[in-house]
Amino acid sequence: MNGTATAPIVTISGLTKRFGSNRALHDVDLTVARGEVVVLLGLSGSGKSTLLRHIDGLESPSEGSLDVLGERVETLSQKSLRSLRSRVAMIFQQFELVPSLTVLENVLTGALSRLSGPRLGVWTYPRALRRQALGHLDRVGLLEKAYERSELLSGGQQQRVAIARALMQEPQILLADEPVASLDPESSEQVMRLIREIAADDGLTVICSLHQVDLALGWGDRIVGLRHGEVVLDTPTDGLTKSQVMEVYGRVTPTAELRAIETELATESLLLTRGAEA
Amino acid sequence: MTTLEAPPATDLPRAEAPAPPRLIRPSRLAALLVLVAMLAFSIYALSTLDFTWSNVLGSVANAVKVFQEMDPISLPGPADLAYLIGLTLGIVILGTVVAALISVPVAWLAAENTTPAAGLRWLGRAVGVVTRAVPDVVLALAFSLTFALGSPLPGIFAIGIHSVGMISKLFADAIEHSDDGPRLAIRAAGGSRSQEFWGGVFPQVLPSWIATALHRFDINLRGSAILGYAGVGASGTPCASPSSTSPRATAAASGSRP
Repeated sequence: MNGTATAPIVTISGLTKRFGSNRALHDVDLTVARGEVVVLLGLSGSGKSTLLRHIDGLESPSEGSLDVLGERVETLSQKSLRSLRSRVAMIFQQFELVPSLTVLENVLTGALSRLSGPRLGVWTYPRALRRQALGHLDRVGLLEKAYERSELLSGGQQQRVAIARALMQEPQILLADEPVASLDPESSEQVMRLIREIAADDGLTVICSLHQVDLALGWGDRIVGLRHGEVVLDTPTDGLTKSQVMEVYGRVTPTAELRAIETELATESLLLTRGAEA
Repeated sequence: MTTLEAPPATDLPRAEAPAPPRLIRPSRLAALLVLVAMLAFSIYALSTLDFTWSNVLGSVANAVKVFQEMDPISLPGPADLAYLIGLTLGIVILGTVVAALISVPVAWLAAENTTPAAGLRWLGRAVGVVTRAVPDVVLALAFSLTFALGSPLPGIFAIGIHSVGMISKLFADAIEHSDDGPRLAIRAAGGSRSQEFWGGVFPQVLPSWIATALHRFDINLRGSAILGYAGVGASGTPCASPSSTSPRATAAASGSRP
């Protein structure tokens, strides 16, 4: 990982995080190159969210170090942390919009770090930012919803608003924490495609956590598998098969593998039946 | 849609493991003991009161007398009445607005999820408890000594200070019940603490804050007559100054026999 073309934008070494006696991350090493699209794969509780929160400077490590955008995260002051966070955008499973505010105002909150002091109402933001926010809404295909209350939108639309809000930060890194876990398959696909398109167009580095192997395989450049807070898989997606990924998770006993396949078959037949009924 | 399966069952605790024995928690036991003690004390207290049904019947005559003396209530003239009602409304509105404004920083300190430090949280709560504990009539009496009789300022101050107790408590509750997500989103985007509060919390709690302020306005309006009697310029004031109305109306307003 040397040379300017693949200069690392995130370098994590020996990262361990403990919450009381609970160990969320253990000795995690991870290097992400500029422009790379990485999927963090793992069950809930495997440490994906905690890892993402560290990269955004929302958590400080118990041990180890993080370099993000050339900053040594664990040594930063509150002020420098805020400046780092403003360059790293994050979207969430539950979207985390303010339900009673308009879509446009929610998008504008993404630019708060560029303003001093709080803002209330769309008209308290500078005109240039309002125009920019409308541009981002157009980009995610929701310009006509700009003045609707965000709670009136569907889940998929809310996540696209959250993406527009992230774009307001003009970020270099986009972190996505289970962005489609609360969405139906169709909206999921739409959101995942949108993230991919934006990453390609803007040269964004993306780190996205998922728990669905199917989504991950066709989507990222590279898969990093987490299990009980440890990296158990780190491999390019090219040529990777589902069974190879599943092996990492269900490798301990043959019965577990069998069970995984059984469940997969059961889920698929259930979906087929539902499809037939509809 | 394939999702990852849970780790193999051999890692998991066995389902038929015995449930841990149920313990009586000390806090529950203490609560029960206090409840029993309070009940016992109430029964004892009631038994020591000189409370008999014949006493109740004997007081009926007293009650009749009081109501008879209220009979010709003399109200001020229509113009005076309109002025006094307007003045009362003004005092109550201003007092409630002042209280609501003071309550915002107090609630911010007192709410668990926004307080900057644990010590300041206790300060916020203490302000709420103390202002709730001192009745507005007492505050009005104290303030009326510093202003001219009938001036509206003591009333505004009394309502403004006393209402902070309830309003800040309910404001803080609303903050604590708000969803942390939007705040986190603003923090994750590099927002400051004040931007987190005004951008992520305030829009969520605003409807509840308005409801609380209106509820307190209603309470304050009802309580304003007695504030007037305490020497604060409001519709209760004529009841307190014998020169402007009859002593009988004064008696009615104060609820005591002349």
